[in-house]
Amino acid sequence: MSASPLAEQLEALRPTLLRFARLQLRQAQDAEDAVQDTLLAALEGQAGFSGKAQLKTWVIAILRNKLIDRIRKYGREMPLDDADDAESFDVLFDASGHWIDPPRAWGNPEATLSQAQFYDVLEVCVTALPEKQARAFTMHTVLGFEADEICKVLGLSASNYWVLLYRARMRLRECLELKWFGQQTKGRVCA
Amino acid sequence: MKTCREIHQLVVLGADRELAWRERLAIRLHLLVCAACRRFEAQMHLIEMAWKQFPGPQGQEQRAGQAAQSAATANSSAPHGPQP
Repeated sequence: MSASPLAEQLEALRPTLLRFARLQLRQAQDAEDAVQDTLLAALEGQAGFSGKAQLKTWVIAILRNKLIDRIRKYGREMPLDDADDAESFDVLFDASGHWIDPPRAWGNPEATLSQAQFYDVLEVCVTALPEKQARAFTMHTVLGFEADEICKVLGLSASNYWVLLYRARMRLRECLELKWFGQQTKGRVCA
Repeated sequence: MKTCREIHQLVVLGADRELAWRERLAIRLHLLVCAACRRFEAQMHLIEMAWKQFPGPQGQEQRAGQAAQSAATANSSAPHGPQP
């Protein structure tokens, strides 16, 4: 059985799929299983691929569904690091509620979003979040779960959930500022 | 007039749920006069856009392809991310 061109193209997508899966399934083996399932499903279902949609977009849609299924099935059994995140973002503000260190301009968003390395940094930053935060955040933002389902799977109260999402976004912002935008602006102090 | 601390909370909340018109109005009025919160809002917007496009732009495919090729002989090693 020789590999078809499609099989080769799919294989080339494996690293991209893996990083996507690892956002949700931190157990390396689970993530690899989900990706394997996805690649098989893509090969078997290639008739469903019109060729008009970008291959990557199509395969990621399949993976997304696989991840959603897995979370619905096993979500509650997945080990979860329950470390409490006591970080307070109050320190960003003075007593009168003003920014102590006002946010800086991050430059042209299109330029940022078109750089592949930016997504590497984004991934590093989300992986650095406390696990519950990361799970809640990516279930919501990347997989499109509704709030009540996320609360059920992760065992959260509603207020808990909003706090987690808030913290996730604030930490991502800090992390990007440090690991991406900090470096970007260094060279052009006088711009 | 709400403070920057209150506005930043509303801005973050607004990414995840529908805000009341009062809240939206409060944000708008504040952003008119506060450059720092405008930049904060732009930062949050960028993060939102980035996740919509994750894992990256079209060019990523070639990059992933190259990574796959170079990893083909040792495909058990993870190209990205910290491993437990």
